[in-house]
Amino acid sequence: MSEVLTINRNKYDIASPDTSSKLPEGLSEDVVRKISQDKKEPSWMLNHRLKCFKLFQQLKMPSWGPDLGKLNLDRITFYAKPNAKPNSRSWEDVPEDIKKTFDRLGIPEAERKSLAGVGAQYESQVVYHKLKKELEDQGVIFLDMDVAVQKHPELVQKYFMKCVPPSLHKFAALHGAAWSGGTFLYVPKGVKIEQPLQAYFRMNAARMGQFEHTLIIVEEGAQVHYVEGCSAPVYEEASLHAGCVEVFVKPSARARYSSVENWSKNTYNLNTKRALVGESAVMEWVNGNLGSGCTMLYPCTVLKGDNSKCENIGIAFANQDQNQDTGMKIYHLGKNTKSTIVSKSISKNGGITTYRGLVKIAAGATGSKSNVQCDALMADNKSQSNTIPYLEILEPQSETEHEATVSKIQDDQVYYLMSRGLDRQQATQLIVSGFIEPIVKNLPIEYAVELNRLIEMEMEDTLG
Amino acid sequence: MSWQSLPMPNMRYGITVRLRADEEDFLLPPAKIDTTPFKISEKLPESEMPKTRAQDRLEAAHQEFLGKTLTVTVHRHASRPILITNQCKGASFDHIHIVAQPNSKAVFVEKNNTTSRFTKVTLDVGENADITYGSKHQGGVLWAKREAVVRQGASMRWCDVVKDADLAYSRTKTILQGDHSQTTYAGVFVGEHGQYDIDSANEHVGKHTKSDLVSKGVLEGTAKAINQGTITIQKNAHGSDGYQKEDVLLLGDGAEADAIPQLFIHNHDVKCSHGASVANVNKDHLYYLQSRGLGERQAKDLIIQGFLNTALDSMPEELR
Repeated sequence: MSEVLTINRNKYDIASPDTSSKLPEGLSEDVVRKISQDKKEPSWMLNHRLKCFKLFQQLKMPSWGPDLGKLNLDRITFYAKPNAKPNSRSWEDVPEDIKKTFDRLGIPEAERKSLAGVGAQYESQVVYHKLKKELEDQGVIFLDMDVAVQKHPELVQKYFMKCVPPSLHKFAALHGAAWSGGTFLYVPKGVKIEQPLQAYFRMNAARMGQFEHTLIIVEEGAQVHYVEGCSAPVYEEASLHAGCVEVFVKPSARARYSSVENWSKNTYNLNTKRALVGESAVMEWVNGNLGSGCTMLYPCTVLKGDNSKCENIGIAFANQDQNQDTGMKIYHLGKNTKSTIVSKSISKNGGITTYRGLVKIAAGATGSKSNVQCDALMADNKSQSNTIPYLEILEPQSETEHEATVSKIQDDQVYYLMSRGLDRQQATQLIVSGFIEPIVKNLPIEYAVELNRLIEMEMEDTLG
Repeated sequence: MSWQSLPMPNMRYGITVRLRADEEDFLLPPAKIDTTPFKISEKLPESEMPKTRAQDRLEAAHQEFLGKTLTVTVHRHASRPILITNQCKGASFDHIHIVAQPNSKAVFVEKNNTTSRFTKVTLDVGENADITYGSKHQGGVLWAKREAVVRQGASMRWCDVVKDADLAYSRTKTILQGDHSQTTYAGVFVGEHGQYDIDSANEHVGKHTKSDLVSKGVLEGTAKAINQGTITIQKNAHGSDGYQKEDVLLLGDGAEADAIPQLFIHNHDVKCSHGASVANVNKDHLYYLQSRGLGERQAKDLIIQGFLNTALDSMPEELR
C-alpha cells in the first residue's frame, strides 16, 4: 500500500518520450473532419462537430475572470493519437512507456485494491478501459466515449451534449468540435455500485489540448461514485484542457463525482461540468483544484425535479503563478430542492483564488433552501483571495444563506501547537490539514492521502 | 463632450421608470428642475467644491443639470444634529460637500420632500473627526452617489433609508485612507413595487482600519432589489477588519432579490467576513406570535420591525 500512498511531485512532472501521431496545430474545419474520420464516426456526430465548430467561431472569449491572453489556440495540438492500441482490457497490452507513466501515478495498483472499474486516457485516446465482470453482468456500461458512439448510438445520441449545450460558451463549443476520448457510464435502474469507478487523464506532449467527454447516466434508483484524476508534465508553453462532464441523475438516483485535478502549472483548465437532477435524486460534487496555471471551472447543478438535492464540496489551492477561479452554480427549479456548498481555498506565494458562484432560486421553486459557505486561508501577503457569490432569488417561499470568511494562519494557533512540542512547520501543516478536513474526509482514501500530501508539499516552504 | 456620450451604468432591470418621453434611454423628469437652496439648521463656514469626473451617463446628467450645492466646513463639536432641508417641489439635482476638520464631530441629517432626486454627497473626514451622515428618501426616483474619504483615526457613519421608491439607485463608497480609521454603514430599504439597486463599498487603504456594514431590505408585492456590498483590502492595510451583512426578507409573490456580497483581499493579516441571506418570514416565529393572540398581519409586522431594528437602532432619531 505504501507505494500508492507515497506521493512525490516528480512523478507528475516527468514527461515520457513523445511518440504520438498528431494532427496539425490549431483548429480548422479540416482538423475537425480529420478527427471524425480517424474515429470512423457516424455522420450525425460529424455534423454535430461541424455545428459546434461554427458556434466556436461565432462565440466570444469570456469578458470576465482571469486573463486568457497567453492562451494561443493556434499553437495547441487538438488531436494526438498515442502509439498504442485503444481500450486495452489488460495492462499487459498497454505499451511499456505509457504503462510506466500510469504505474508511476499508481493507477493499476489502486484498481486492484479498491476500484470497480478504471479508464485511462493518454493524449486524445483511451488506452485502457475495464469494468469488473459482475457489474457488466448487471448491465452497467462503462466504455471509452469513442467506443460508446459506435456501440450505443441510440443512448449517446439521446444524451450527448444535451445537458451542456455547445452554445453555453466558447469553450463548450470548442469541446463539441474537438472532443476525443473520455468515459461513457450507464448505470441501469436500481443498480447500486458500491466501489468507485475511476478515470485518469494524462496529457504528455507539449502544447497539447485534451477534450475528453464524460457522459454519466444514472437511471432511476441507481447509485454510483465516479472519480476523476488528471495530470500533465510541465512545459514552457501553455496546454489547454477543455473537457466536458454531463451527469444525468434520474428520479431517486444518487451520483457522486469526485475529481482531483493536478494539471501542470502551464495548463489552462477551462472545464465544463453540469448535472441534471431528477425528482428526489441526489447529486454530490467533490472538487479539488490544485494544479493548472489558470482554472475557470464552475460545476453546475440543475435541480429540476421536486425534492432533489445537491451537495458541493470544493477546495482550491493557488501557489505562485496560479489563478484558481472556481465556484458552484446551482439552479433551483423544482419544489423543496436543497443545496449546500462548502468551498475552501488556500492562496500563497502570490497565488490568486476566487470563489465565483451562483445560487438561483426560480419562481415556483417553493420551499427551496440553499446554504453557501466559503472560507479562505491566506498564507502570505503576496497572495490574493476574492469571494464573489451571486444569490438570485425569485421565489419568496425559500431560504438562502451565504457566509464567507478570509483569514491568515493564526499566530496564536501556531504558538499553541508549538508549545505542545511541534515545530513551526508541523504546526502550520496541522492547521492547514484541519482547514481542509471536511473535504478530505469525503474523498476515497487514496485520493484523500494524495490531497493531503500535495498540500503538505505545497505548504512546505510557507513558514520557517 | 456631451453627457449623452457616456455609457449607462449597468443596471440589471434596466431603467423601468419613464422620466421623460422624448429621450431614448435616459429620460429627464417632467417637472422643472428646482434650484431653491438648501436650508441648514446651523450656520457653517463654506468649503471648496471638489471637481469630479462622471463615470457614467447618469452621473454626467447629474453634473449637467446640477442646480444647487451646499458646501460646508465643520470645525468643532456640533452638539445637536445639523438638519439639511431640501425645500424642493420639482426635481432636485444637488451636490452636498462637507469638509470635517481634524477633531471635529457632527451628525448631519437630510430632510427631503422631493420625490425626484439626483444627489451627490462627498465628504472629507479629517484626522480624528467623527461624522454621521443620515438620509431618508420616500417614493419616486432616487439617484444617489455618496463618497467619503476618511483620514487617520477618523470615523464615518452612514445611515441610509429608502422607502416605497419607484427606482432607487444608490452607491455609497468609503475609502479608509488613514491608519486606524473606521466606518459603519446601516441601510434599510422597504418597498412594495419598484426596484432597488443598492451598492455599498468599503475600501481599506490604511493600516488597522475597520469597516462594518449592515443592510436590511423588506420586499413586498413586486419589488425587486439588487443588494451589492464590496470589501476591498489593499496591499498595505495590515490588521484590518471588515464585516458585511446583507439580509433581505422576500415577502411578495412577485418580489425578487439578488444579493452580491464581494470580498477582494490583497493582504493576509486581516479579519474579513461577510454574510447574506434571502428568506421569507420564519413560519415558526409567525405561528408562535399568532398563538399569543396576534393576527397574521400584526405578527408579520412585528417580525419585520424586529428584522429592521438591527439596522434602525443605530440611526439618529430623525430617520427611524
